[in-house]
Amino acid sequence: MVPEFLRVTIDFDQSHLFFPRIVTWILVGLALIGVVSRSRAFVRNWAGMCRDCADAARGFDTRRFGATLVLLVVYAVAMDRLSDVWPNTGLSFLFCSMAFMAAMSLLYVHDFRRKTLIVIGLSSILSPLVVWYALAKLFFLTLP
Amino acid sequence: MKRRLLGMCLLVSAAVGLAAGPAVAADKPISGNLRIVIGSSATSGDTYQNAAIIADELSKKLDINAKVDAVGVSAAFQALSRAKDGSTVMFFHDQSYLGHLLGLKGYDDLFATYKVGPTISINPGDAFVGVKDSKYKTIEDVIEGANKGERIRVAIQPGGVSEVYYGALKNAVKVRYPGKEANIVSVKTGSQGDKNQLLFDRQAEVIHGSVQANEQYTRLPGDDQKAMRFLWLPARKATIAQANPEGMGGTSREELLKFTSPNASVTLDGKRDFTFDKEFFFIYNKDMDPKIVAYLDKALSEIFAEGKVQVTMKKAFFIPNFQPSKEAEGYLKKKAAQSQKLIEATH
Amino acid sequence: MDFLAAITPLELMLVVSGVMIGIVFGAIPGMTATMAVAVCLPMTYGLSLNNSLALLLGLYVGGISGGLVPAILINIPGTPSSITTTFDGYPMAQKGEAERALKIGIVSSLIGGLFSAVVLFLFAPALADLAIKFSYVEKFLIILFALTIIASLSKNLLNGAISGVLGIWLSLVGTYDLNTGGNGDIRLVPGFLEDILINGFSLLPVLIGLFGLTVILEEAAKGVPPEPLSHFKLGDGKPFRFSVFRGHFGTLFRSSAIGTFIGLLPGIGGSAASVLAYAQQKNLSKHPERLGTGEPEGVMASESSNNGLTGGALIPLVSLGIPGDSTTAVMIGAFTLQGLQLGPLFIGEHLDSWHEIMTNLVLANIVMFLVMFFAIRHIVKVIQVPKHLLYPLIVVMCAVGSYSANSGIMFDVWTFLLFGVFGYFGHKVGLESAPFIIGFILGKDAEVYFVKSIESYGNLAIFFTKSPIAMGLWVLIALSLGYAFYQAWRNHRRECGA
Repeated sequence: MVPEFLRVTIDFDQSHLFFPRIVTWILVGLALIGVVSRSRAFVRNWAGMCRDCADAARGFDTRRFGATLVLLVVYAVAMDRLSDVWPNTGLSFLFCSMAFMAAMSLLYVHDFRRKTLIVIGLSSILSPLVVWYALAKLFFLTLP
Repeated sequence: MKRRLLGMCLLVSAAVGLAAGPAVAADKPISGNLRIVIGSSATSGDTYQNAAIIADELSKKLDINAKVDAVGVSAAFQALSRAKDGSTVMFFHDQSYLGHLLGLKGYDDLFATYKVGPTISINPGDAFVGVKDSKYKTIEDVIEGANKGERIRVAIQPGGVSEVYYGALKNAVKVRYPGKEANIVSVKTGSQGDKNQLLFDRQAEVIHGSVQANEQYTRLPGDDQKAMRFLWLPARKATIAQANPEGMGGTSREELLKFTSPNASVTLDGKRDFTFDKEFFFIYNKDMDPKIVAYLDKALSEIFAEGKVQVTMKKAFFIPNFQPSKEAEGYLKKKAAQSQKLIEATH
Repeated sequence: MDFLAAITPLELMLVVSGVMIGIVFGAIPGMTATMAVAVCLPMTYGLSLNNSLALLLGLYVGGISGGLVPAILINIPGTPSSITTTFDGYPMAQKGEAERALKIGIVSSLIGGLFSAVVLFLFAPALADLAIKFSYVEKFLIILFALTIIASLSKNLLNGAISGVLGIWLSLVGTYDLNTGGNGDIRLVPGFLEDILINGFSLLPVLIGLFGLTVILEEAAKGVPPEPLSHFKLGDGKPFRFSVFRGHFGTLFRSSAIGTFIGLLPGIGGSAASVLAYAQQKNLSKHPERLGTGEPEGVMASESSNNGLTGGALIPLVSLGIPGDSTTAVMIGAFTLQGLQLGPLFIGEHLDSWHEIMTNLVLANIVMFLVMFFAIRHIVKVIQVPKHLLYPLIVVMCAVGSYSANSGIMFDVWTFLLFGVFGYFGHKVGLESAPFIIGFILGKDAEVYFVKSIESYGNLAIFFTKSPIAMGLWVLIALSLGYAFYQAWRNHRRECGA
């Protein structure tokens, strides 16, 4: 009753590849459409795009962007490593978060008045403490 | 602003005070926080419930904070491998060695890579369930059906306890009617809801369900599309016999016993019946200090001696089955060997 | 109302604390109602059944509702189901209407919650019988329908489509989950990463990375200009008036109904509810082009649908013993430990508990409304916090949220960071976050239901011929796609004409 070309059987041992293959082909297909349909516009606007890039680069804050990435990685690595020192207490999270918040705030702040610095200090000590206390001590969540 | 600052300061000092916590006693091999990772990522399943019950008791007994984390199989084994100090232990069931026997990703040989801890409890509720108005009224009807050449689809969850039950049924047909076992075929599926749905759609004749989840369906009138019947409980008769006499819901223990061996027989080798208890037990890091093993064994045997935990477990239809680490290891190794034979026979 | 008279003071207290804890969990990016319920589950062991129900339902309703707060204030969906709340809620906040947006969201949540409670009470068994008419095939088609919505949510049709398919693709990375009936084999992962990527990427870290961290990285690249998030002072924008709902009763009714319906289908995640409701709003709105720029009706659609989910998800729970979403799944555990069994006979055999569920559900919604409506004035101040204090805190909260998303896995923190960076560079080449995340959310379900349908029936025709429901769904899919292409064509013509 069902026409032959609609019949499909899936070997269970290979079934993990069936759907991903279809999605991969759709993705490749769409990407090709994208490349073809835009290549002409791309070439035509090449000069304009370069100018755009240059404009964007002028406003690009390499120091803050780069340092943010470095800080994030250091934060995650440190939190993971130190959690072996104080297992299952969340203390690694607490101390790393304090250091991370202070560092990131200092990176982002523009005016270094005394008052701002005090607020930053307080915020980076108190916020992780409150979070840590609520999650680790009240709700017994496992923290790094 | 000032008052708020003062409040903050009070909060901080309170927090620090609490954080310091009780002083660490030198004679206790573990203190403070004990993390119990489980091999299931669901906080809704039987693994989590059994772990939570025993964690609660351990916390009280040892004056620690035992916390159950449903991280899933591979993450649980990873966390366990890191914790040689006993700050993290794992809690899981037979899946932990079956996964390796079935060659699944993320499973190492349990007995070689880790240390087996004490067994705690059994979930006796696994059941093979069929549609109420089907011609298969018993598991014997299913086996005979296969003999007559009828194709019988069994919905199971791949790669675990479910697959062993399925293998046992197929093996029983093979033992009694060699060559007919091909009539038993599996439908691989997932959650309880999906399995029920396959029955409702008549896309499976038998599903691997459970007493807990399917009992009410067995009490629906036969003309209801959703009505089901129990065919077989793989748990040992002696295990079900320990349940509360009320059984589960409207089905008494006596009635449930009708679905266990020998009343519902799935033979292993023509002489003995296949039975299987889904067992929950602790798994430790291989290098964990034997002192901690002994310490936990002692604590748990005291907990079970008090008898309160048994009541909690039975209320939730779990059967307490405590065995200290040494005995547990031998017992589980034997169980693994039986399962391996079945897997080899049917794959 | 004699329902409410039966409430003991302890129950009331438990509902209130449940709602408040739930709101906090919902509001923390990466933490969800499901986690709130799971975390508080051990606390219920010592309580009676009625008291546990009070606490758990409070947590559930609070947790679902709390997600709107960060969605509106800082453009980070607190839970996956509040993704669509960011579309109009955050633009409103930027126009100085944060308080108004929040209040609209809360009122809509209340309406959605109460609507679903009424439906639950009156029609639970009948709707459960409807739910079991949806097998693998129909569920796949519903997901396909939700995926076509990517088209109408995209700013650029092609970019949106690529983003959506990429989202699906990335959701498939890792093992084909045994728990959903897969074969446990790993795919789309190079051999040397198998140990790390065995479980693939989880949704919550991906979500908050993409929405939370990406924005911070974009700001960092601009040098983090010192002005706060909103250029307007609080109270500068339009104040909230109930009259905003005039003319939108249809919106509220339709969205609540969509939420309830998605909730009652087991195995279709709750996040699909608000996506569907929002897209329908866009398709049926008088001013579809304004949605996404800060229209109150967008917030209404999103929030009434995700609270409509609550009562809906309880329908299969009480009448089939099958959870309608991940949070109700955890609740089954609470029932089991109380020795109470859910299933088709539950309502008839445990009438008291059933009434207790209803009472507490209604109560939780009212408490949620009161707590949030009056706390808002303080909550909105968040957007005045200078960025150099707010951003580090957001990162810390997101990190802890990611870590806790699967009960404490470090790889989830890395996922969060990875997708933050991915979002930053993705946006540069036209990646659209909303279609991407919708694809990511629905990808795995789409796979399971598609593959299982074929495994069961062995032919592709079944997707068209299975049932009248399936055919009806194809009509909806066709309409949804047709509409999106029509819109894209009209926009294209307008651009060319201009």
